[in-house]
Amino acid sequence: MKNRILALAAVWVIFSMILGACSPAPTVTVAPQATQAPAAVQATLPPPTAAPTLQATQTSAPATSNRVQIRWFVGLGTGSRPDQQDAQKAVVAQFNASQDKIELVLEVANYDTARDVLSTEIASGNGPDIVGPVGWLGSNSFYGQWLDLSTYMQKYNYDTSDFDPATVKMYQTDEGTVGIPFAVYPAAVFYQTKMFDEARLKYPPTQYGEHYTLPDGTQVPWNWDTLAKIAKILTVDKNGKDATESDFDRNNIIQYGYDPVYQELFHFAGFWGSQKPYSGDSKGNYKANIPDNWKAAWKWWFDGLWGAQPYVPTGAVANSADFGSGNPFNSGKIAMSVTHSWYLTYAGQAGKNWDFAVLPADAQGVVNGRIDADTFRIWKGTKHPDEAFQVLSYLLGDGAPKLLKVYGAMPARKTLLKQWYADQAAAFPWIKNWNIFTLDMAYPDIPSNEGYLPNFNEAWNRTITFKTLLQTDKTIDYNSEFDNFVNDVTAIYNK
Amino acid sequence: MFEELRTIRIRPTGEKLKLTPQARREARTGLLLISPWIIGFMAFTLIPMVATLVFTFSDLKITSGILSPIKFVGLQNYIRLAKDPQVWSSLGITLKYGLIALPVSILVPLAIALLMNSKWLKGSTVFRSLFYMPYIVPFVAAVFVWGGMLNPSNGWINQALAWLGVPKGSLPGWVNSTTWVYPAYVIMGIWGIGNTMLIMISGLQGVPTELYDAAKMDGAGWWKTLLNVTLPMVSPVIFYNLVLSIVALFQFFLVPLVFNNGTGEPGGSTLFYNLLIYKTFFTYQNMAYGATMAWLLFLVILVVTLVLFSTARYWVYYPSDR
Amino acid sequence: MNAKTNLRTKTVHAFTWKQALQRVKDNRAMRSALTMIVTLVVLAIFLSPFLFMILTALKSPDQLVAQGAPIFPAQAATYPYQGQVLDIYKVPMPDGTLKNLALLKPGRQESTFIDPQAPNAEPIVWQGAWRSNQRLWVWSPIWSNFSEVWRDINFPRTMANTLMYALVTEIGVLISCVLVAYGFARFRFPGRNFLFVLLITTIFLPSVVTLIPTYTFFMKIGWIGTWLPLLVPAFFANAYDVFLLRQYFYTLPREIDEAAMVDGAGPLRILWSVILPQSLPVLVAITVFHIVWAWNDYFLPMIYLSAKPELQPISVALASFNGLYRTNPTLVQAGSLMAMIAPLILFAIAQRFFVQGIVITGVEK
Repeated sequence: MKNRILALAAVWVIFSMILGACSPAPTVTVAPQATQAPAAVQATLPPPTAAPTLQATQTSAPATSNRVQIRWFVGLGTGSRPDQQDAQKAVVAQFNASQDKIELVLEVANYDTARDVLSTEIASGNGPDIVGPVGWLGSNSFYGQWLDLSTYMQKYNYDTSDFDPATVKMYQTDEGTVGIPFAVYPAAVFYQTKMFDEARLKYPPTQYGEHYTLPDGTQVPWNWDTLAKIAKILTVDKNGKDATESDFDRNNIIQYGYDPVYQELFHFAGFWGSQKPYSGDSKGNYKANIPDNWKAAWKWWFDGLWGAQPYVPTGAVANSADFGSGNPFNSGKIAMSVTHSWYLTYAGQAGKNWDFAVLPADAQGVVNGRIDADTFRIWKGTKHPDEAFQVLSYLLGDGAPKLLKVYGAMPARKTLLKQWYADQAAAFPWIKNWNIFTLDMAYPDIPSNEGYLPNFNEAWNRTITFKTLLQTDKTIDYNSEFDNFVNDVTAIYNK
Repeated sequence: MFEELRTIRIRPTGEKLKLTPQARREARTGLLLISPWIIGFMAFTLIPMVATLVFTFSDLKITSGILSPIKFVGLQNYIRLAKDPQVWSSLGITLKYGLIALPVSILVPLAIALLMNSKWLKGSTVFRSLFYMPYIVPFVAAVFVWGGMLNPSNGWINQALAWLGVPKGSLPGWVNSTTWVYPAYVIMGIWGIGNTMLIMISGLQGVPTELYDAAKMDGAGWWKTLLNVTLPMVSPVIFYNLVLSIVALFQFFLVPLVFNNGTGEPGGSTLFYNLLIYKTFFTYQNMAYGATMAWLLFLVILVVTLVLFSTARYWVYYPSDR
Repeated sequence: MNAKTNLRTKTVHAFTWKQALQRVKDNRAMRSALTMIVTLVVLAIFLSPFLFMILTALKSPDQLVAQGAPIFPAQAATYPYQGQVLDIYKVPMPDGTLKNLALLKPGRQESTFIDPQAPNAEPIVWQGAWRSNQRLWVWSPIWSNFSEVWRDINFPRTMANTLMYALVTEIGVLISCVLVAYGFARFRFPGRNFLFVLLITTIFLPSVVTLIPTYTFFMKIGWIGTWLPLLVPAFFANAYDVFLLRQYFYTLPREIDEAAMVDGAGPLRILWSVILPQSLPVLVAITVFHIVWAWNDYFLPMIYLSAKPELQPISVALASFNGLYRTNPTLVQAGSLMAMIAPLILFAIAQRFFVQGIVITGVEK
């Protein structure tokens, strides 16, 4: 009897060991995959130096033991959608076929969990070599983890003449040169022409300095006040009454004048003014530095949500399926949104009647713009920085056109711009004002509104909390909640 | 468990264990039988648990990497924990939610299990599958479905309420309102009772029918039978569900993470304790402090469970333990 | 006095609720019917979100945002005119009839329509708020949502992965947990109580916390990017199932065990021939909900298999439609419905093994 139990236990252990042995040894796991090099390359490989017997029996697997493996992590920014996979895989295959020293391996995580996956990998010492495409928000949440590229740029004589010098400078921070420009996303006012027609409103201006003509004929500067005025006219209830009319039914709004789609508080405020949201230089003496124009910006937003004449959808409405499940402009029921060129890939259902206009100025007549930027970063802890840099150069160079297309990204390289505009015009034939993006490249946010904050993740999280509060609770006192916010942020900076 | 804890004695080393050969054989068999768990525990569980305990005495961040040399800071994290108002208020939030959620998570599956088990129900097998079905829905889909149902402006639930006559201004704000967010979570949670219901059903079916016959002969009505026959006989199963529900309550975090963006809004009412741990870990990247919070949670659950086990002997009936 | 005899007397009473209830209690058919009605009502409310799910899976994303869209999957009728696509509305005409007209130029106070039946005639200028008119909807379920999901997430492959994950872990769980629970429930050994306490406490610590050390451990032994970190631990028993089985084994009386022991059966024999047959309901329960859990388990497979899309199960692949920037609820729902079918069938089949009541025989007391 005892023997039977012992026998059972032995079977147990053996079974588990078999399962363990069934796992392919690390070298073999990189074998038959989409990134596999075609046969032509194998002929030129030098004879393998490791485990020759293993190699001899593998006819389909390339001799991977010689190639340096570089892992490319996608998901911290865009890149995890099903429709983007083919292009990324193609670029990887092309790179692997073009040389025989490096094997590029693609790792795609879902946007929702990419940060968790990356955190786990970095914390266990298993971080990827290249991360991207990623913007400032994503890379700042891992502040201090990125390789300073300046030595490698010098070593390989990297040519940055194809980039706008301002964008190159943008990546030179306290950490060193942590990136090279890949994609830029200038901003614009996206607006629905049909809605303006229906309301008998003039379209917003397409040149900076132009005035806007109100329905009663008066000429006003194109600023946030004016935008609010016409947004109210463009907010309509189910009976066709707009927000300026006395019998407007705010419980049955079917079209809104404005929505800050996908903008967090600092993003939105960036269009009202740019500055460093903190002062001080070390833990213990940081202070939150939220300027008055930011306070005014959020008040404008709050009034649009809950004021007597609303024109911004509330949090509940914006998240409902009716209004695009968190992407309201895409529902085709929002008249205007200020956002960036990356939004082009998220506006698939906004209809075929929208166009771009220039950004509104602030009360002093100053235009404050924002430019988002994506690039690929190299993880500081990579074991193969030289090879990683080579992959980086490829992704920014030969691989860029394919990738930029699926990311909806405007190229930072001047030589690729013309083709990009042509491609976009073909994809969105109803849009006339493409030049707005070129105009808006002159209005970057310096310092970046997604820029470094002390205790970045927690501080940024606090802004999300404040925004959610503004969007969902009409009973709050704006000024006291604003003060709470400032105090909390100061405390967070100093943690 | 309390009972069991009380029987753990520490023997002075000199004393030899007096066991009959039969008892010795029984002990050996028992240990061999549980050996898979012991091996697994040591390989997959013990080391990580000990590791996180060690972290609590350090200032480790996610970005430092756990394989780098650790700097010890003594009890700093614990002191910070004791003084941190957010930690204690989130513990309170979890308990407050539990007051509503726990009874519902036991009573509703029990009621439905009783219904499914009723001999008056025809086609109960079909109904069982139907009641279980929502449990199979993947979380990513359920999130959207409930977001849609509970949407304050055009969700089905509020539309139904409006049709029943509730004026539009006083419709519940569900996940956006401090009064209605817990009921909203509870409603969502009811969709997931399939599992518990199943366990209750299997427990109910283990009740020997001769007990029901005996009760009937004694003239007991439906309610009396329930109280004196059914419930005691399934008490081990109810106990099991209660312990697990409590553990699940303390580890509740995915729903507020998704529905309220992990912000704790409205009004801080959804900042559950485990959500705070998750955020400390992955958003604020503070592994050491997160681990400290987690061990506090461990302690709390341990205490609650011990209390539960100690009361068990008053209401849980094990027909065959010795 | 017996309530039954009361009712049998032919005196005429005004019906009280108590008597009505008693009537129902006595009449088998009525009792069945009432139970059935109650169950159906509860079920209908309980499953109503499901209806929402199915309807969404058959709609197009346009319909989700369209104004005044009906609940059923439908497409708004449109009319192509001079290079544009115009929406068709049911417009009340001055003579009181409703005509289906295509909206050419919307305006606040007046709008211009075209009659699709007579496109070359003069455009009709209509006074009023065009938004108050109903659009013309046509029943149109989008079955292609299902095929699109099938293609995009490579349904056969992810389904095979999910099946493998569920089945292999299920085998591991059944074998290991039954053995361990049997050990705890029927055997005394030194440290039994302490070990059981230890077992239960392993579920107290949130898994988020042990994730990183565990991941590091697996990384060091080279298991990342394979199924092993997910499969192997299943063969070493988990607290939930051991706890449940132990509780269940406690409800089984020892007398039969002892009888078998007297007949010379060893512990494994007793387990196989005495305990397990009596435990069929709980074993089936464990099987079903473990498989369901494995079917929808998302976080750990995501972490361990993030580099290997060809190994990922459905739960992970499905989430790719739901990233922050592009929520496509119709595809998510369609994919979820497809993913749910297999566990549902499994459950329906497993139902047969829920034995209706267990009569304990052979117990002489």
